[in-house]
Amino acid sequence: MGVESRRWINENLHKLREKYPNKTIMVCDGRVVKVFDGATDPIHVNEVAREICQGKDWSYTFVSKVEEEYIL
Amino acid sequence: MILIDVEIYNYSKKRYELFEAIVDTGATFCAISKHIADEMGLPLHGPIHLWQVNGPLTPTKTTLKIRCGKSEHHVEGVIINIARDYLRPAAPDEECERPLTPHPLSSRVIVGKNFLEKLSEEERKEVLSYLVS
Repeated sequence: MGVESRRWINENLHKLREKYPNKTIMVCDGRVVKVFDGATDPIHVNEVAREICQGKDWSYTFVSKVEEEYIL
Repeated sequence: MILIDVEIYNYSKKRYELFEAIVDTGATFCAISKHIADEMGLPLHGPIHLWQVNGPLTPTKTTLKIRCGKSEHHVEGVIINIARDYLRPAAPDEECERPLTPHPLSSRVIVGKNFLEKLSEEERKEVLSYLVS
Protein backbone atom coordinates (compact mmCIF):
# COMPACT_ATOMS: atom_id res chain seq x y z
CA MET A 1 0.00 0.00 0.00
CA GLY A 2 1.14 3.54 -0.67
CA VAL A 3 2.53 4.62 2.68
CA GLU A 4 5.68 6.23 1.27
CA SER A 5 3.90 7.57 -1.81
CA ARG A 6 1.13 9.11 0.32
CA ARG A 7 3.74 10.78 2.48
CA TRP A 8 5.45 12.12 -0.65
CA ILE A 9 2.14 13.51 -1.93
CA ASN A 10 1.40 15.22 1.38
CA GLU A 11 4.88 16.76 1.51
CA ASN A 12 4.75 18.01 -2.09
CA LEU A 13 1.12 19.02 -2.42
CA HIS A 14 1.81 22.74 -2.77
CA LYS A 15 4.21 22.18 -5.67
CA LEU A 16 1.90 19.61 -7.24
CA ARG A 17 -0.98 22.08 -7.14
CA GLU A 18 1.01 24.46 -9.37
CA LYS A 19 2.13 21.79 -11.81
CA TYR A 20 -0.95 19.54 -12.02
CA PRO A 21 -4.05 21.69 -11.33
CA ASN A 22 -7.30 19.72 -11.53
CA LYS A 23 -5.51 16.51 -12.52
CA THR A 24 -5.40 13.10 -10.88
CA ILE A 25 -1.79 12.03 -10.44
CA MET A 26 -0.34 8.59 -9.78
CA VAL A 27 2.83 8.53 -7.70
CA CYS A 28 5.36 5.72 -7.52
CA ASP A 29 8.98 5.71 -6.31
CA GLY A 30 8.81 9.37 -5.29
CA ARG A 31 7.73 10.73 -8.67
CA VAL A 32 4.63 11.30 -10.74
CA VAL A 33 4.29 8.41 -13.20
CA LYS A 34 0.86 9.08 -14.70
CA VAL A 35 -1.49 12.04 -15.05
CA PHE A 36 -5.25 11.89 -15.72
CA ASP A 37 -7.56 14.77 -16.51
CA GLY A 38 -9.92 15.71 -13.68
CA ALA A 39 -11.16 13.39 -10.96
CA THR A 40 -10.75 9.83 -12.23
CA ASP A 41 -12.56 6.59 -11.43
CA PRO A 42 -10.34 4.90 -8.79
CA ILE A 43 -10.95 1.45 -10.29
CA HIS A 44 -9.46 2.67 -13.56
CA VAL A 45 -6.53 4.20 -11.69
CA ASN A 46 -5.90 0.82 -10.01
CA GLU A 47 -5.94 -0.95 -13.39
CA VAL A 48 -3.30 1.42 -14.75
CA ALA A 49 -1.23 1.10 -11.55
CA ARG A 50 -1.19 -2.68 -11.90
CA GLU A 51 0.54 -2.21 -15.24
CA ILE A 52 3.07 0.48 -14.42
CA CYS A 53 3.70 0.17 -10.65
CA GLN A 54 3.76 -3.62 -10.35
CA GLY A 55 4.43 -4.59 -6.73
CA LYS A 56 5.76 -1.15 -5.82
CA ASP A 57 4.52 1.36 -3.26
CA TRP A 58 2.16 3.71 -5.11
CA SER A 59 -0.66 6.13 -4.46
CA TYR A 60 -2.91 8.59 -6.26
CA THR A 61 -4.57 11.88 -5.52
CA PHE A 62 -6.84 14.40 -7.16
CA VAL A 63 -4.94 17.70 -7.13
CA SER A 64 -7.48 20.46 -6.91
CA LYS A 65 -6.39 23.79 -8.43
CA VAL A 66 -7.43 25.50 -5.22
CA GLU A 67 -7.58 23.96 -1.80
CA GLU A 68 -10.87 22.12 -1.35
CA GLU A 69 -12.72 24.09 1.31
CA TYR A 70 -16.37 23.58 0.47
CA ILE A 71 -16.78 20.18 2.08
CA LEU A 72 -19.16 19.93 5.00
CA MET B 1 -8.50 17.59 5.29
CA ILE B 2 -6.81 14.31 6.17
CA LEU B 3 -6.22 11.99 3.21
CA ILE B 4 -4.97 8.43 3.71
CA ASP B 5 -4.70 5.29 1.59
CA VAL B 6 -6.91 2.27 2.26
CA GLU B 7 -7.57 -0.89 0.27
CA ILE B 8 -11.17 -1.97 -0.26
CA TYR B 9 -12.27 -5.40 -1.48
CA ASN B 10 -13.71 -5.49 -4.98
CA TYR B 11 -16.30 -8.31 -4.98
CA SER B 12 -16.58 -8.25 -8.78
CA LYS B 13 -12.86 -8.68 -9.49
CA LYS B 14 -12.14 -10.56 -6.24
CA ARG B 15 -9.19 -8.35 -5.35
CA TYR B 16 -8.41 -5.25 -3.32
CA GLU B 17 -8.33 -1.77 -4.85
CA LEU B 18 -6.39 1.19 -3.45
CA PHE B 19 -8.49 4.25 -2.58
CA GLU B 20 -7.68 7.75 -1.49
CA ALA B 21 -9.81 8.20 1.63
CA ILE B 22 -11.00 11.32 3.42
CA VAL B 23 -10.86 10.83 7.18
CA ASP B 24 -14.09 12.23 8.65
CA THR B 25 -14.35 11.91 12.41
CA GLY B 26 -17.84 13.43 12.30
CA ALA B 27 -19.22 10.73 9.99
CA THR B 28 -20.78 7.75 11.73
CA PHE B 29 -20.15 5.41 8.81
CA CYS B 30 -17.82 5.06 5.86
CA ALA B 31 -19.23 6.26 2.52
CA ILE B 32 -18.68 5.30 -1.09
CA SER B 33 -20.41 6.56 -4.23
CA LYS B 34 -22.95 4.37 -6.02
CA HIS B 35 -21.15 4.30 -9.36
CA ILE B 36 -18.06 2.83 -7.66
CA ALA B 37 -20.08 0.50 -5.41
CA ASP B 38 -21.89 -0.89 -8.46
CA GLU B 39 -18.61 -1.44 -10.27
CA MET B 40 -17.22 -3.32 -7.26
CA GLY B 41 -20.33 -5.44 -6.67
CA LEU B 42 -20.64 -4.37 -3.04
CA PRO B 43 -23.31 -6.20 -1.01
CA LEU B 44 -26.54 -4.24 -0.40
CA HIS B 45 -28.13 -4.38 3.07
CA GLY B 46 -31.19 -2.15 2.73
CA PRO B 47 -31.77 1.51 3.59
CA ILE B 48 -30.66 3.45 6.63
CA HIS B 49 -31.90 6.89 7.72
CA LEU B 50 -29.15 9.37 8.59
CA TRP B 51 -29.32 13.04 9.55
CA GLN B 52 -27.67 15.44 7.16
CA VAL B 53 -27.53 19.21 7.52
CA ASN B 54 -30.91 19.95 6.04
CA GLY B 55 -32.82 16.74 6.61
CA PRO B 56 -32.65 12.97 6.52
CA LEU B 57 -30.63 11.09 3.93
CA THR B 58 -31.58 7.49 3.13
CA PRO B 59 -28.62 5.69 1.57
CA THR B 60 -28.19 1.93 1.19
CA LYS B 61 -26.05 0.12 3.75
CA THR B 62 -23.17 -2.11 2.73
CA THR B 63 -20.22 -3.89 4.31
CA LEU B 64 -16.76 -2.75 3.29
CA LYS B 65 -13.75 -5.01 3.72
CA ILE B 66 -11.01 -2.46 4.35
CA ARG B 67 -7.30 -3.10 4.65
CA CYS B 68 -5.19 -0.40 6.27
CA GLY B 69 -1.56 -1.20 6.97
CA LYS B 70 -1.33 -4.77 8.19
CA SER B 71 -4.88 -5.06 9.52
CA GLU B 72 -8.17 -5.86 7.78
CA HIS B 73 -11.59 -4.76 9.05
CA HIS B 74 -15.21 -5.39 8.11
CA VAL B 75 -16.86 -1.99 8.40
CA GLU B 76 -20.41 -0.77 7.80
CA GLY B 77 -20.64 1.71 4.98
CA VAL B 78 -23.27 3.65 3.09
CA ILE B 79 -23.68 3.99 -0.65
CA ILE B 80 -24.30 7.54 -1.85
CA ASN B 81 -25.97 8.16 -5.20
CA ILE B 82 -24.40 11.26 -6.74
CA ALA B 83 -25.95 12.98 -9.74
CA ARG B 84 -23.76 12.28 -12.79
CA ASP B 85 -23.13 15.99 -13.44
CA TYR B 86 -21.58 16.44 -10.01
CA LEU B 87 -18.88 13.89 -10.81
CA ARG B 88 -17.18 16.39 -13.12
CA PRO B 89 -15.82 19.89 -12.37
CA ALA B 90 -18.14 22.80 -13.12
CA ALA B 91 -17.31 24.43 -16.46
CA PRO B 92 -16.20 28.10 -16.26
CA ASP B 93 -19.21 29.25 -18.31
CA GLU B 94 -21.69 27.06 -16.47
CA GLU B 95 -24.50 28.72 -14.54
CA CYS B 96 -23.93 26.79 -11.38
CA GLU B 97 -23.16 27.85 -7.83
CA ARG B 98 -21.60 24.60 -6.75
CA PRO B 99 -17.89 24.52 -5.85
CA LEU B 100 -15.57 24.35 -8.84
CA THR B 101 -13.98 21.15 -7.60
CA PRO B 102 -15.74 17.85 -8.37
CA HIS B 103 -17.71 15.98 -5.71
CA PRO B 104 -15.22 14.51 -3.20
CA LEU B 105 -16.68 11.02 -3.61
CA SER B 106 -16.14 11.03 -7.37
CA SER B 107 -12.62 9.68 -6.86
CA ARG B 108 -12.39 9.05 -3.11
CA VAL B 109 -14.15 7.32 -0.26
CA ILE B 110 -14.89 8.61 3.23
CA VAL B 111 -13.69 6.65 6.24
CA GLY B 112 -15.78 7.55 9.26
CA LYS B 113 -15.76 7.08 13.00
CA ASN B 114 -16.71 3.41 12.78
CA PHE B 115 -13.51 2.71 10.81
CA LEU B 116 -11.29 4.71 13.16
CA GLU B 117 -12.70 2.76 16.12
CA LYS B 118 -11.49 -0.49 14.54
CA LEU B 119 -7.88 0.72 14.44
CA SER B 120 -5.40 0.20 17.23
CA GLU B 121 -4.56 3.27 19.29
CA GLU B 122 -1.19 3.46 17.56
CA GLU B 123 -2.76 3.27 14.08
CA ARG B 124 -5.38 5.88 15.00
CA LYS B 125 -2.71 8.29 16.27
CA GLU B 126 -0.75 7.81 13.05
CA VAL B 127 -3.80 8.58 10.89
CA LEU B 128 -4.74 11.68 12.88
CA SER B 129 -1.14 12.92 12.89
CA TYR B 130 -1.53 13.70 9.18
CA LEU B 131 -3.65 16.69 10.25
CA VAL B 132 -0.78 18.41 11.99
CA SER B 133 2.12 17.33 9.74
